[in-house]
Amino acid sequence: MSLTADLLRGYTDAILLRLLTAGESYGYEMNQELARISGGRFELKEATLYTAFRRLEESGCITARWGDEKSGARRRYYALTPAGRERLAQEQRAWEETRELLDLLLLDGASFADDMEEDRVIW
Amino acid sequence: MVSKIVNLLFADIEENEETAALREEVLNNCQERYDDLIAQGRSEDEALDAVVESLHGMEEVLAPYRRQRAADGEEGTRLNADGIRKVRASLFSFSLDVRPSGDASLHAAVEGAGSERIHVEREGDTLVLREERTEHMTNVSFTIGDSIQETFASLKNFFGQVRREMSGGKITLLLPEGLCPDAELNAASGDIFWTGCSAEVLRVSTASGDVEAEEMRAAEVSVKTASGDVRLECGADRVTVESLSGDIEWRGSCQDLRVKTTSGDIEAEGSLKTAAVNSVSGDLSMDVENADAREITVRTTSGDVRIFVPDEAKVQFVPHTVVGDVSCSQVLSTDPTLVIRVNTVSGDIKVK
Repeated sequence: MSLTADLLRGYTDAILLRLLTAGESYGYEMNQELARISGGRFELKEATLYTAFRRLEESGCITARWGDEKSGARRRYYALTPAGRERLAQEQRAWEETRELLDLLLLDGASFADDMEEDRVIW
Repeated sequence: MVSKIVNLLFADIEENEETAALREEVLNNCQERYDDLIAQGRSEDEALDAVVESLHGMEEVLAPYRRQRAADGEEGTRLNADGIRKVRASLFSFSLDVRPSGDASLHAAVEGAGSERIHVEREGDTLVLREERTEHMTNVSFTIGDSIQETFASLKNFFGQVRREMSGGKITLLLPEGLCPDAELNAASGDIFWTGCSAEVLRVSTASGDVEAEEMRAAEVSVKTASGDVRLECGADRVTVESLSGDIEWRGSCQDLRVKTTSGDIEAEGSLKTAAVNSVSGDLSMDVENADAREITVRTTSGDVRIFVPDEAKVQFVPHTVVGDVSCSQVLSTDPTLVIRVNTVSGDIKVK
């Protein structure tokens, strides 16, 4: 469980960047989207969200602007920059490699593949 | 209510462009979360619970912006320091932070919700800090319902109210230079910090509050807590710490160190003459820095014990364990000046 949490934490920035590929958004909406995509299994704490946003802003991956809500606190909208898009592509490649490797190391992916071959022959 | 929670979170945060933006952003997210949940038919309490839950960890993000409010005397009350010899505190939810004022003045500053419940008074040579129980606290109660669900709901509501009423504020006490008081500080859930001030005697007890004392000297330091963690960095003739489940950390120098805990882990590092440690399941890790320590006695049931002493220490090692492993890489002396006695039932013993 904690291993899963650690692994997910390492991809917080990438997860947020990926959400922003659908267009600009703000904290709560992004969290709702995360909950929806994950079937309620994943949501970020405000603290994690803000530290990630600041980090991404500083590294030029996203830009921020205030919404024009007439009453109450304004929304802070974030948008993806070309640098952010580039960074997301890198992270996605890194994850694919990690996943392939972990499949091999943890699930014995090689012999899985063999078994599936055999299955196919029998069928 | 949501803005109240967020305001509380930002209560002692330096206001600048960055924190103002952060505050507005947090407030917006929390408000929308709350409104959404209410719209979905959740109770106010459940919605607030979710908001509080989502703010978990925010304190740490804000820590770098925390205002040193009392340090510049702002909103603090300046008190007459003449003739003060003792400090007494009896608090429930409030935390106490004691530091030096840097001059001859004595200040007390109270911040956070419920600060009107704090009384700072002088009784003879004693400075008294007292937290009144809130009316709400005495009125809040829970009932054992007909079903588990009912009881649980009542209990949840109870905790919700307690949390809101008791979300503790903080008292900052700045002591004048040269005052070396006799201090007795008690708190329930509040934390106690004591930094940079010497004391004749420092006695602290808490239920769940953490206790930290740093950069200080005292003839005697004594700490008792149920579940709070204890961290002491001090020089004292005698250091005594008791905890139920709280972890204990001590660094410094003392003549006599006495530690008792049920399940807390113990870490001790420094120079000492004698040490007596008792634990049930807590582990002990002790680094003795001086070769002239005389006696270390440890008793645990299932805790592991690890004691490091300087190579030049002349050690006599008397381990006793029922099923634990014993290892000792220290060369034992035929003319010992330090006796290490360790008794465990199942804990492992290691001396180096």
